[in-house]
Amino acid sequence: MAKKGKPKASTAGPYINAAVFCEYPIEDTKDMISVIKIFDRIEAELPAGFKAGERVIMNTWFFVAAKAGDAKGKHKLELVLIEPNGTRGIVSESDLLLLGDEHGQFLRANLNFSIQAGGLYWMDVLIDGKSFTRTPLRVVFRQPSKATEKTPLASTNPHA
Amino acid sequence: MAKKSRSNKRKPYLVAMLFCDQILEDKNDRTISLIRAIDQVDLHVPRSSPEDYPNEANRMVASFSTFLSFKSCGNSGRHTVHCIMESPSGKKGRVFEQAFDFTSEPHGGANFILHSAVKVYKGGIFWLYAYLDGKRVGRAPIRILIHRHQLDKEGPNAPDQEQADG
Repeated sequence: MAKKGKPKASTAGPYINAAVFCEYPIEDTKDMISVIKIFDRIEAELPAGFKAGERVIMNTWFFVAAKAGDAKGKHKLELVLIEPNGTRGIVSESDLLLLGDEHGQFLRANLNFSIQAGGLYWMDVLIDGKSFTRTPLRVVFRQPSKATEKTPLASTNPHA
Repeated sequence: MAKKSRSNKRKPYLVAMLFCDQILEDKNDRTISLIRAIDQVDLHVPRSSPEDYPNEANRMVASFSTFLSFKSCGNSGRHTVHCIMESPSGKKGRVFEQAFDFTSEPHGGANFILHSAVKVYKGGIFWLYAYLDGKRVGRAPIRILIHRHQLDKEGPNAPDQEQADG
């Protein structure tokens, strides 16, 4: 009897084609998405009078591109922020409607979350409760007297 | 019996593999911007073209850029990235290969920008597969559509009729 072959990888799914922090994602009049200024490191200016242990509100965008593959129908996409101390918290929940095959869906999440310390954060991307990928974000706290502007910085080597 | 502790060190992995019209890099802070993410390229056959154009000998060119972003997860050092493009007929070809030093920070890694010019004579779904150190780590589909504008008998002012091939 012939053995059953493994399913073709190209038909498996769903899967994530992008999960990145960015300054903002733009949707133009033709429904085309542009992802502006992808970063993996951010400097957060502390408010005046900040005391150690207090929480700071971060506002940022997270962009996800999901592809259907085999998956059809409604799915649940969750973004879970993992703090440097391991604490996990859901920061975004949304429906993902997949039509199968090469079709996909973009998610633009405007996130506001409070953080207590600088360090390495992770954004875990889950579909129907299963983790598909996770994206790191290095947060650096900066004293207000030293600078005036919050600047996201890319630390990954850009290479053309 | 005590459980074996799992190493926190993960292998480098892919966080983005996107097709787009244009990729910009800010020279000051080195951030990347992806302009118009796409999953489809539309090619239009010029009206003046012969009826059998495009064909295997005379193909059209679909141009687009691909952004690949890897995270090192603490696994710095030299890694080899290569990409293979698969046509709808199943033909595969290596379109990119490069060894590169990944940065050491857990949030670091490496970005790659591919500028592709795919010669086609039939439309369909093309797959791009990304490999890291020989292991497949990602795939992305892009549909290339060839539109043939047919001249109506009433003349060139008649509305266009589009026919998608493939």
